[in-house]
Amino acid sequence: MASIASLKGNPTLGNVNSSPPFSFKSLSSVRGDYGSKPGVSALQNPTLHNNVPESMVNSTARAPLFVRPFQRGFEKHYSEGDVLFVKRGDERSAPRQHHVVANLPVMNYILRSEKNPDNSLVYDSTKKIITDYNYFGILNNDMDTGSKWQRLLNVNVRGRSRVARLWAPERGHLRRGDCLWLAIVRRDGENKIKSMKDPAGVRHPLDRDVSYYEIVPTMDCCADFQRAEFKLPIGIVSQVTLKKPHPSSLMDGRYVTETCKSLERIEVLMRI
Amino acid sequence: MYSNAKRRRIKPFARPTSFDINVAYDIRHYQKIKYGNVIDPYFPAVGTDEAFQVMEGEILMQTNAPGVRRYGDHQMHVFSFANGLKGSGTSVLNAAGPPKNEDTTYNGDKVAVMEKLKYAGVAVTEFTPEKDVFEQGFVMTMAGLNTLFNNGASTLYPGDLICADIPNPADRGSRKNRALQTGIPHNKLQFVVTPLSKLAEDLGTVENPNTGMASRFIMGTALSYSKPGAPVDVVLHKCNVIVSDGGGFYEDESKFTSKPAVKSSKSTSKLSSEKSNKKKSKN
Repeated sequence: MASIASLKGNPTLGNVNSSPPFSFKSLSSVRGDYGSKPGVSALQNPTLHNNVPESMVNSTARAPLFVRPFQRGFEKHYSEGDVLFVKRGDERSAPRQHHVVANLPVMNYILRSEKNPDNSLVYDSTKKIITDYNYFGILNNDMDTGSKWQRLLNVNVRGRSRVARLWAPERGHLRRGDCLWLAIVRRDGENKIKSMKDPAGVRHPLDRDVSYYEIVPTMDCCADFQRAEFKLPIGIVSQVTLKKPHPSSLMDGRYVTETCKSLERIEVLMRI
Repeated sequence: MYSNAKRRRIKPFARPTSFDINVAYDIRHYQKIKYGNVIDPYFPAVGTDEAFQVMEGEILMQTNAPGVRRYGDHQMHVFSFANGLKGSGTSVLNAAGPPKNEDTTYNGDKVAVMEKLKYAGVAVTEFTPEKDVFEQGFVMTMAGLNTLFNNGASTLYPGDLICADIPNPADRGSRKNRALQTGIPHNKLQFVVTPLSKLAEDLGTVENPNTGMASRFIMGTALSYSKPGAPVDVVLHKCNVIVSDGGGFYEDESKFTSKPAVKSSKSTSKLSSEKSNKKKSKN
């Protein structure tokens, strides 16, 4: 941490370090014998420092993420505050670093709709879900607004972040200091006709007696927390809006991207 | 690290990468304890004003009791004293002396006290309830490097998951001074630091530790060796411990497939383990 005393004086020309090998003058071509490469001592003495006069409080870490498009274009509707998951072990993503990225409604749609050739659900256990998908972070903004074909997302991975208000305690208000979780919960099939909305808001029928898994936002006071098979902490609430969302909006926000987008945003401290 | 005879908290780290929020003092809890509105407390109430002050580096808790009148705001209301906390009301504990009834097991009462508490964080700035502005509140940190004072009864080792805890009656047998830290009034009972494994055993049994309940009080990970009465360097982290259905804890996702940091026995969920402990305490 730099002291204020080190910041006095005239501004420099902006060179990071004026002495070789890091000065701009030293950018000579590499000779055949690698004689111009920086020495070990130079590499052990870094010239880039993260110096700020104030202490770094409530900072945020972000990472870029290239998104592979879905056939139905689900990824085009992702918005700030969406919780994002990334598919693991997808070798098609390796060459160009494109990843299958799902927000909460898309993730829930995948979990209850991806099927094996024998018509059984692919994700019939928690282990399969956590083997195939990783929780990545919370969407901050688009890094590449120039393209309409692909999205390069800037994702908050640690620290302060705005997130959709998908959580509500069973009684009382959501308040500062509350811990927010995502839980993987098994929903047992029922012997009746049921339909559920996909991320675009279109209803699809569910087969009778088919159990499926879903990811639900929950808190330690909720019933889903007790019955969850896997619980992943998202963050601690640091700022919260006054208005309590309607339970139907909260429920729909898990399945429909547009409803999730319309929820108010709260501030959380992630992975702390 | 930096231990000295005066038992002070010397801070080698200037709290880099910290995550802080503004909180309010739990003035209703303070008034309830101070003006004697507690019948049969687990810990003795205290009358001196100084004991109710929040000091830098103290562990802060919230009340989690269902009967507590709500403030009706979105603020976090916290306090740093364990005096006057109520258990199940079946046994009253003398601060420094032996238990009134030798047959009483402290396990059940401790669970009853801890059920009504919720870990909040660590105080960064001071707050004096009779002097400072309530609305302004004070600063509390939840994450980042920090140096705390090991006022518990356990030796902490680097890598230990540490929890906020209430002072144990057994701790007092070995040390008469409850508040070990220099400058803290002797009749003030601070919340203490305990390893997760120890707290889980205290809340359950050695064979069947109550990790589900203990997980609610995880503060962070110890970075240095610390005996009781010495400072301990910690990295505070409140919410990066994954909980699986077996009650195990994993400090990050990469550890999920490997051996869990703490393994509970057959308890399948937090609720079931808590219920079983309630039954034990009744028996």
